Amino acid sequence: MFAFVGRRFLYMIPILFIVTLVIFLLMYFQPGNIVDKMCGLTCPKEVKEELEKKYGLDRPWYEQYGKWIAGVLPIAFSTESPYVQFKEPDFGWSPGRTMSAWQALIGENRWLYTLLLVAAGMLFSWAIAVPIGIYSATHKYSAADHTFTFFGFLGLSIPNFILALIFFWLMVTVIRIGNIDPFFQLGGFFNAECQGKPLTLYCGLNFVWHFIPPVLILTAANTAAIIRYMRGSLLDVLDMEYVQTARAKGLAERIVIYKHAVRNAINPLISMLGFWIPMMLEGALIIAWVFNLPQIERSFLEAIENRDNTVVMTGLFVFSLILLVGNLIADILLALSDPKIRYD
Amino acid sequence: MTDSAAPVTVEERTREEKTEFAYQPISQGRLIWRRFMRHRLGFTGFFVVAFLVVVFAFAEFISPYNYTQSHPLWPYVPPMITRVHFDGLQPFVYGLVKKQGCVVYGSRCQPQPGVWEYTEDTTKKYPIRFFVRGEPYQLFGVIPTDVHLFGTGEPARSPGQFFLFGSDGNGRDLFSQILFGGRVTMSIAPLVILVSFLLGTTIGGLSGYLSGRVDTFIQRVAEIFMSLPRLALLLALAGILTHLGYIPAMLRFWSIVGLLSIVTWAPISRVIRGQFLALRESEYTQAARAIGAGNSRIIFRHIMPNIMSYLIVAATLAVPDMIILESILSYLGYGIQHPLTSWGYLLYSFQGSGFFFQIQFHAWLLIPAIFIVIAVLAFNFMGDALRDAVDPYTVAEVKEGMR
Repeated sequence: MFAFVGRRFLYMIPILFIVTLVIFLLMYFQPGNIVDKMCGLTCPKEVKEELEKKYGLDRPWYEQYGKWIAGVLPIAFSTESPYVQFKEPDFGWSPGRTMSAWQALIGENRWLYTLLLVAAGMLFSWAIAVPIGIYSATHKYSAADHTFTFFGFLGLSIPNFILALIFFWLMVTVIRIGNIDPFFQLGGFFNAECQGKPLTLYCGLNFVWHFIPPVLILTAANTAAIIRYMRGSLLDVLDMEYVQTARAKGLAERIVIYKHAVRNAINPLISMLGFWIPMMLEGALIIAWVFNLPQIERSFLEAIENRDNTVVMTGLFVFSLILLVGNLIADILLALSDPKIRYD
Repeated sequence: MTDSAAPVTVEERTREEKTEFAYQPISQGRLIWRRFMRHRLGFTGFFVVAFLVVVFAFAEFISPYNYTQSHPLWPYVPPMITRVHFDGLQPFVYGLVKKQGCVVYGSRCQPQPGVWEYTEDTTKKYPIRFFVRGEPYQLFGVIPTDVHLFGTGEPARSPGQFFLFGSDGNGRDLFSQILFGGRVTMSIAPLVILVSFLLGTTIGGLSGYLSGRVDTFIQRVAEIFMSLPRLALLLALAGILTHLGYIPAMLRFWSIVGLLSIVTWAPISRVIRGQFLALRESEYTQAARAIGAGNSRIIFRHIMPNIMSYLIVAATLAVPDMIILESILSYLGYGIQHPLTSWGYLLYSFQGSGFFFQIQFHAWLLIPAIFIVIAVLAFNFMGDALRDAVDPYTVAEVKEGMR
């Protein structure tokens, strides 16, 4: 098992390496760079060249790439005695934000908000979807099952950002929430009063009010998918003979379902857990934009807007890393949950 | 279904002795079509898709205005679909009267620029006629004409306008914009599917059929493409495209198609490769090889027909995904832009002067979102039904009974 995980992990490294090359070349070969943006259209040639020299943009691409990748690597090589040393990865300087690209991407607690949103979304969708899936499967073709299936289909079909727009429309024009109290301001994680203030009870509640809608909307598709898989998987298991045997033994229906059927039915879903992390991040990308949330995704989008190439590169690298780690986790969970898979 | 239908045919034919052929087989295509027709939701989806395609194909004719034509006198007119009156059977609208709108702050109402209140001038009636002459256009880009399906036929400055879904800040008709945007959105999605499926099938097929070193290489390339985050990569690429400055509208359209294909072909090639690998070793392929069939014959006559049904279903189910991706791209401002329009771009331009301001006073400009949902749902239903229909192991009667 450990050998399998180790091999799978080692396999990730060359792929990640080529991914960095692709990301770099993508950014390198685009016409124009940040200097054009900083300097404006009527930029004297000397100033431009000086700026390019300052940021190392006048070097050939392989040199720039080497410099970048040496910075990104978390280990540093030297000719002196501790030949290999761990260091903090350095993703380069963001001239647009005048800070390091890494800070520009995840600074100001942005990483925390992203983590919080994705983790809460994950927990929430599982806590809701698994019971509903079990209920739907055990009450097949009942009115409730049809309702859940219908809403599941809607949740899968309506894109996140349209759900968000519908939410805003409901809040602003139907409920007219803006007229009630400044507490209910929409967008961001806090209202103007609590922005950058210490967390009091009022501001905590305000955070919860701002936090729940994006989580619900982010997880709508995810929840619907889990309900669907859970229902299908449990229905398959309930047809198995060992379930029949358990019933014939005279076990209570509750025990048959939760102890015999659900435990087997949930296995394929658990293996898909790692698969859903990148999917959630993709959804968070647009939710962060619509809800104006201070997240990694938002700084990534702003960097694209401002042609802040180092930040865009950092963002693409981080997202690729998460995707690869997610796939790794998925493979490991699949191997763990299904004893039929061989590790070699 | 066939098992019960065919014998009846046989019995009838033999009894009546009308023909020498006692047994009339039903082709696979007919079978699939019959099973598809039975799926009520799926058939509704198909009908909606067909309807939308026809409407968007004749967008110039059906829309009462040209979508780029602004009417500076009539900005932000709310939807007039509720303001249609009837004089016997003749529908008509009253003339528009524009007044500066105001926003309530506490007890007084303060005039607010950008907010207009429209009332009806009941002294003037403007009948809505069919095949009316309006703004000139070129049907299919070649036939110059000015006949529109419906409208009031009044000049742009006249108060007798008929904006079915309202108008935007420049006084452009939202209904016409939705029709033209739908044409773009609904043509990008199939084009992307076509390109990415061609790419995916060719690459995946080569990979699976040739195996060996070529296979390993192609699979590594596909793996790298799949290790890049799809939406983030798409946005970064489209961002580059946007920063290039002015690009002709059609070039931008095709670039978007290309970008979407680049980020979607890899998973398809994976699946196709698996199918090729499996079918390459199947008995009928080996039999074909034994009688001396060449590679191209084996691929096109023996393997492709067997994965065709899978391809068609997968393509149909991928269309809603592409519609959503294109809408997201345009919604963030990196997709389709001004001379052309798409549903996502309409939502992007909706946010122009402040999101909450717009949503509070001009909420009807969100109508394109409804169309995105309708199109996505229709394609989803259609794809689901198609999947059930082509699957030869589905027993239609059993499913029918369980519903």
